[in-house]
Amino acid sequence: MKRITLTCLATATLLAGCQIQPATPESSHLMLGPGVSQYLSIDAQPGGITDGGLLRQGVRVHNRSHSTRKVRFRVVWFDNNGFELAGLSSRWAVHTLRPDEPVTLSRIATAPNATNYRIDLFPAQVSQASSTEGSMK
Amino acid sequence: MNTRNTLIKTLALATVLGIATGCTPKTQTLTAGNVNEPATLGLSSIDFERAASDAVQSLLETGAVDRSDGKKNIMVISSVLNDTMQRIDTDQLVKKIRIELLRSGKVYTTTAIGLNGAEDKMNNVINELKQSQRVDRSTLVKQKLTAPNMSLSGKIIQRNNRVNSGEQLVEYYFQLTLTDLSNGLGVWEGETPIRKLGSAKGTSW
Repeated sequence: MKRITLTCLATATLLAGCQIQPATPESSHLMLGPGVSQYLSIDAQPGGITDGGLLRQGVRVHNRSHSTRKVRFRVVWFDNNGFELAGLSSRWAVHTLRPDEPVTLSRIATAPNATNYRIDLFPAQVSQASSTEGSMK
Repeated sequence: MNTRNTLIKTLALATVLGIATGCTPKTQTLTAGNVNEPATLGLSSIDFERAASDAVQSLLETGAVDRSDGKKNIMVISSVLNDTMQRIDTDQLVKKIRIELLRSGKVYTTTAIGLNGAEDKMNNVINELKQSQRVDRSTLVKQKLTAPNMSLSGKIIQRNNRVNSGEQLVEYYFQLTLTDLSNGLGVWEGETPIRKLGSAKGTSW
């Protein structure tokens, strides 16, 4: 009886372990607003350094739904110490996404000391109360 | 009787004042990045932010302000014309671009040279200090102005079109050009169109 219980426990542990998806380094930089993941597919997160040595990051998405959607997008930049860097490159911009049309949203950091970033993708119309809520993808 | 009349008058006055205060729209300070930003047919700070951001992103993307020798560009602001029906200060656009380019570490803007003289008049006044007996000469800086190698110019255009009896389309174009002053060539050009659809009764000036 004890052996059966132990075998069941070991199998359950193994199965549970298999269900955990390893978080890729890129995905931890993306924050999706409420409901966005229901109609938006994240195809890629291109990024790199421009010829001028500035950080450039983006996200390639497509709208899975059958209707046109509007999303708000921004990239927040951080310095080496984790402080947020102010600037126009972190401003919110509204984008219209037509069904099945792949779109790449990207920004270049205007600060040379930007070393880290976070991409925010939220529905265009949200109440003020939930405008800062989101989930890390 | 007299006291009763006074009481009625006071109550009536208080009611009128209360109603008047309640009907006055509440003044509120809008925070940056506000989702429910009020939309206007005229140009607002959101439009200038978008135009400036688009211009800077394009400048950095194309490498127009990159230098291979490690030095920084010296930019002078030429003329940015306001060809709209609104009375706007084009610095609302230019200042934002200057701030972002300075922040990028690729461009300095000269405040000593410009089409209408120095933007910062102190650049000229500092020379007059040499004549003054009240100034300690050992503290005077030797002025040697740096000439610009790039010039930013542009235009903001407005076009109004009636769509139907009830609506009008107001179009704005933010056009900018960066010129390499060593050869007079336009090394970067950008245009941000902003289109607004609103009531035909609405005014855009």
